[in-house]
Amino acid sequence: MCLSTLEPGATNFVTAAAYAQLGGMPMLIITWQKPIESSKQGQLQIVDIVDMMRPLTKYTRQLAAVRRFHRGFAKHFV
Amino acid sequence: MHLELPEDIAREDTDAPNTVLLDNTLATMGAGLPSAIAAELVRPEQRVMVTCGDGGFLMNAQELETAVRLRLHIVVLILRDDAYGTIKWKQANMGLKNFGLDYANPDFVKYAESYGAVGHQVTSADTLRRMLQTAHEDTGVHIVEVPVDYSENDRILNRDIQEQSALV
Repeated sequence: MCLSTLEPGATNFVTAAAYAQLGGMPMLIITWQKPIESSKQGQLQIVDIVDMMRPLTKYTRQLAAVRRFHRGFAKHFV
Repeated sequence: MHLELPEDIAREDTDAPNTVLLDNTLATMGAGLPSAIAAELVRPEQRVMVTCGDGGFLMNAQELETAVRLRLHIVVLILRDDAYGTIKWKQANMGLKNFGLDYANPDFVKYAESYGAVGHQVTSADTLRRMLQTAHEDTGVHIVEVPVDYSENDRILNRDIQEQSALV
């Protein structure tokens, strides 16, 4: 399992994800994202991480609410 | 200074299954050291050695800090030719002139020491085996720099194999 902060950290996972995907290595990546409802800093450090990672992973989702954590996320730990 | 590796070291023989991580899928440069760190974390009872080129090593060489901080025992064998040698070899095979693939390197011994690792420089093929044994028997992170001559690729892959396959 790997953790990063937001976009510059998340984009650093591109090669690592491709490495794990092609190599058949189980890997869970968790990244941060800027506030999605409003941004007082414009596009600063915002790219579409989900679209970026989709072709490199089996499953990529944005968890936009805490209540979605259990349903969409916890199953990937087991 | 260049040297030829002893044959039993140059070949990638193993004694047990699942003991060689050879990335032939993404085949990215720079994956060697992080893979070794992961292998050592998962199998601390086994000795871990990385074989990488100077170009690939320097793409993630900052992870030496991770290896030293986690007190891992890893031996890193760096094949140094001051170039992206495989690409240069392919470039030459395509009949193209040498372009954009020669690079300089840091002093790998000093570089290792600056992280708190141990650096070794091989100066003759006779000392390589003893140097690797010393590195494995010691603890901590060891960097072993081995100057290589990529023109050996031309001799083995372009000439010797073709000659031998023509005999079959």
